[in-house]
Amino acid sequence: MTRFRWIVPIAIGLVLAACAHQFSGVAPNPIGPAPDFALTDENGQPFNLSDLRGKWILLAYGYTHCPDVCPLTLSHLRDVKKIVDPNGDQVQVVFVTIDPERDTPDIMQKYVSHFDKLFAQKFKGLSGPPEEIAAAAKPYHVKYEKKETGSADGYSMAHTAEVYLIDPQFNWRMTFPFGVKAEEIAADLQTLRQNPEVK
Amino acid sequence: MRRVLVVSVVLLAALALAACGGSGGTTGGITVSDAWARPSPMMERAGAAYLVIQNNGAAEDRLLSVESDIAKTIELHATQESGGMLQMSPVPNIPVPANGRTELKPGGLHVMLIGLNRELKAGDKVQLTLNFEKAGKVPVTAEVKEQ
Repeated sequence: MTRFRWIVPIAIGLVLAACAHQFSGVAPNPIGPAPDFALTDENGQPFNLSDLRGKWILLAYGYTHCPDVCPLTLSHLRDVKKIVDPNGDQVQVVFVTIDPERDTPDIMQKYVSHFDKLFAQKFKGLSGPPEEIAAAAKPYHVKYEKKETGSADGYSMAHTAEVYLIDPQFNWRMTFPFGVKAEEIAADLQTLRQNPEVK
Repeated sequence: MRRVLVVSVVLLAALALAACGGSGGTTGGITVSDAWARPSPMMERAGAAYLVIQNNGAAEDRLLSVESDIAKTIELHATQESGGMLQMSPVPNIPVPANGRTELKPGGLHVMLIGLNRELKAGDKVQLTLNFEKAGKVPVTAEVKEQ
């Protein structure tokens, strides 16, 4: 029996490590059902966010004329997928345009496919008419605004750039501020996956 | 024995420099390093390049513009936060303080490549010429890579 005494501290350590996980994301208070919305997917098909019930959803908003912030967010989400579900279909990345004037399903398809090359499960790129985009943004507190900046690239969209995590029961579990590293999002997701009761 | 040591150190230093080389350019007090560009999701979309500018001079300098055959128009841009929203806008120049450095990095200052003449693919090299107010032209090679 004494031979296995070393197991005790290791077990305690493991438990403590699970409890001590510092979340990088912020959980909504209280945690509740994720707001659903209806948009058009990258194939031009109607798409409800709740169609993804049963999977973990990483949801981000942005636009394709965005060379700095949006590729950063999408490359982070690609890296999260690479860490937590590289060969599976249990973690779905969803990118919603807030620039419906320029981003058509065809453009969304080309854009998201740049980031999902490594995976069998493709990213969703959602667009739609301005009023549907507004309805999809509002419940997640996504703000955006068209700005004329004088750039040769045309107008720019000011927008919030958080990432939202939704669990397989379609509950909104976390909001990650802009710039949170892929490893941190992945660690939060893994912790929630392993400890469904953690709030 | 001592000579061997000196030669080794010099060789190592040269190797270290060579490893960093290809990406850096120095003119006057200005050194540009770690230049890279993100692969472009679509050719018709703008690309972004990032780099680090070190100013070893005693006076402030400013990056005024960037030239390259990679894009039809090149602008200096800044991503700034206002009211919780991030917004990207052109800036007239990018100051580099005396004996200081300015970093162009994702989510902040960047070189915006508008109207790409070819796709930016991981592994490609892009030649950029930076025009500074005092230091003049500083060439630099940016590597296209995922960050």
